[in-house]
Amino acid sequence: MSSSRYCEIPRESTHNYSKTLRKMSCFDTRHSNRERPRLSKNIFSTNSLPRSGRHTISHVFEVTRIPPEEIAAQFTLIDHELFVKIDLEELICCGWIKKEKNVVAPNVVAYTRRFNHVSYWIVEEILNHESTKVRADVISYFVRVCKRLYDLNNLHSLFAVISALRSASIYRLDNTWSFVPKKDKQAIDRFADIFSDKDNWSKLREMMDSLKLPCVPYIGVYLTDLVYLSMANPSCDYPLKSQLLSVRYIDELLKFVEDDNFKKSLLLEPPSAKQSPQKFVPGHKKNSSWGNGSKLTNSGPESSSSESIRNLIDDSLQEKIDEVTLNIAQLPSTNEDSVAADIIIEGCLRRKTLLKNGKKPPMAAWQRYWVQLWGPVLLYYSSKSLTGTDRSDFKLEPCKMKSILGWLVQMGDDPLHPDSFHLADPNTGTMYKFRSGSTPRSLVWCRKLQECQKKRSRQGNLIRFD
Amino acid sequence: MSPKTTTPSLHKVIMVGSGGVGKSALTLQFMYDEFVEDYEPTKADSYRKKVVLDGEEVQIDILDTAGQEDYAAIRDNYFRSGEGFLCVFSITETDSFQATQEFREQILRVKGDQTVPFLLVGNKSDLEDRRKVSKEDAENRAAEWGVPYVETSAKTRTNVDKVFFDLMREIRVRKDVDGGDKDAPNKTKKRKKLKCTIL
Repeated sequence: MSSSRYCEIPRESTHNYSKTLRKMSCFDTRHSNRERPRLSKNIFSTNSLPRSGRHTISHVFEVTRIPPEEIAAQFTLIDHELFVKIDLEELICCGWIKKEKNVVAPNVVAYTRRFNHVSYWIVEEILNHESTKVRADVISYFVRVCKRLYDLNNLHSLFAVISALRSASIYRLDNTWSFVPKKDKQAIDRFADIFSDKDNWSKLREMMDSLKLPCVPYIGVYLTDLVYLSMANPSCDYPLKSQLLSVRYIDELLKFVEDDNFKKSLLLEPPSAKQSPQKFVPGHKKNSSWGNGSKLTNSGPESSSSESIRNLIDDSLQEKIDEVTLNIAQLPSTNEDSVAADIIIEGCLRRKTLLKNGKKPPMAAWQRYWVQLWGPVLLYYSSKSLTGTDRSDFKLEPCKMKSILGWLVQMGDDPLHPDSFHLADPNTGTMYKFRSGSTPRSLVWCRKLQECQKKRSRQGNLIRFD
Repeated sequence: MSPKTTTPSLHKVIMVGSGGVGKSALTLQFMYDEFVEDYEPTKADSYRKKVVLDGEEVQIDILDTAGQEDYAAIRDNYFRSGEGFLCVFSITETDSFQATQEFREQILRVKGDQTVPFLLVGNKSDLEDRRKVSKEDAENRAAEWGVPYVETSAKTRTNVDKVFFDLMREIRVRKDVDGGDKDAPNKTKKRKKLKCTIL
């Protein structure tokens, strides 16, 4: 029922009242089963409201001093919030009439409770006044609230107010009613007529069909319709039982599900992500420049432990050590005019470890990364989704960085994977295979990777020359 | 208002009881019998039916708020329009039997009348093996209230017509009495007025 049709409730000006209204115990839909706290009358003119503490309206909270428009607006905001939470599933399975309604239809239950709370609160508000005349004034006040609720198409609270005014406790107060202006009584009759059960609620049904959305509906009639429909068509009854059984079924398989989930989680975000260096945003040259490389070395103590941690997926050694060995001297220059600070090429690449420290890993898997070539450094961003290849499918922060200075780049010769290229570090005996998805793209990657090596060496020469 | 002799009198019956006791099943059984495929929930006359009560054609209008049981705040307003009440519980559920006490009290409070047409109905009598509320307990409560107790089964259609017809008879009797005594309240008013003038 969270259909957008009903969702656009106008946001009324918020006011301090809203906080107070929400603080009222009767508006707290979460604890409706508990007894409402009774408060001493010497603090409030009303005992239906809880202590508002340090709040501005602390001395006398006269509901009638709140503009009726404001009350109606706040009612509507709170109702709407609850209404949009109602899930279609709750309605289809007629969950709110079941014993386990709090579990299978919590939002329908909350919406219903809200209705009753508003209604009972209004009854209390009226009865809190000893003076007949004042009680009549409070009734007239709520008639004005009704008018505003009607204008807002908030049938939920409108009916709650009408139900309060028509409740046995209020209805029987003949003396009070004699002080209520005739036009107010007529207005109540008119509003009550909308919710008349005559001709199977035809007035309400017509109104719902014809009103201009948005609205906050009174859903009770639909709840009855749904109960009757499920009764009249038992064969079409939603298979709640089997659904519940299937949940139990999953419970039994929980162990397997858990394992599967963990595997999936590792795939989505490889564990090396945790050991990634500090936050680092390429592009903000000054803030993240390698000149402040102490940041990177600071991350050292914990990651510099030479204990090799194996990747849980492919059992390959993680690149931690490589990351740490990046030293400032190798890093791109931080000069403003340095081209090295810009990203030369980036894209989605799949990577597999062929050799790690001269050894073939026992198990190697393809992993997807968003890879940026930033100077002679490769930045890896782990993936967020299983299949996506756009930048948005990968994390915003890199999970590893690796200098590729002195590395060898070569197009792959695998006829099955024409889009592959190899990157090898002759010093450590580590080799990776990359796939970019297309041969031309791989060729571009190869060229750029080679170029950055040359550029770097040239730059190095210049510095030395200087 | 020209009273047409052809217009059958309308009896307004209200179904009360906890959720899941079979109020809607009883209503549907009575209204549609085996022709439940004719039922459309949103039609204006879905819960209105012409029946022959002791040779007289009457209309019954059933209000059942099944599914809205938790909207407690609306009850007073609807009970007020009811002429007769079927207070339903399930013989397999003690809670639903307990709840009938509250419904009874609420109805009496709204109607302000101890003798309002009222039937206590123990539904699901086909589930004898799962019975939790003894017939004796239910009959005792009914006797205490001075109302009839009937056990029904919407499933096997046992006593379904009976509860609706019995209630309509009570409503009719009640209306006849009220109709005959129509001047009674006016008389008292007049008397009061007279007293005032004397004073």
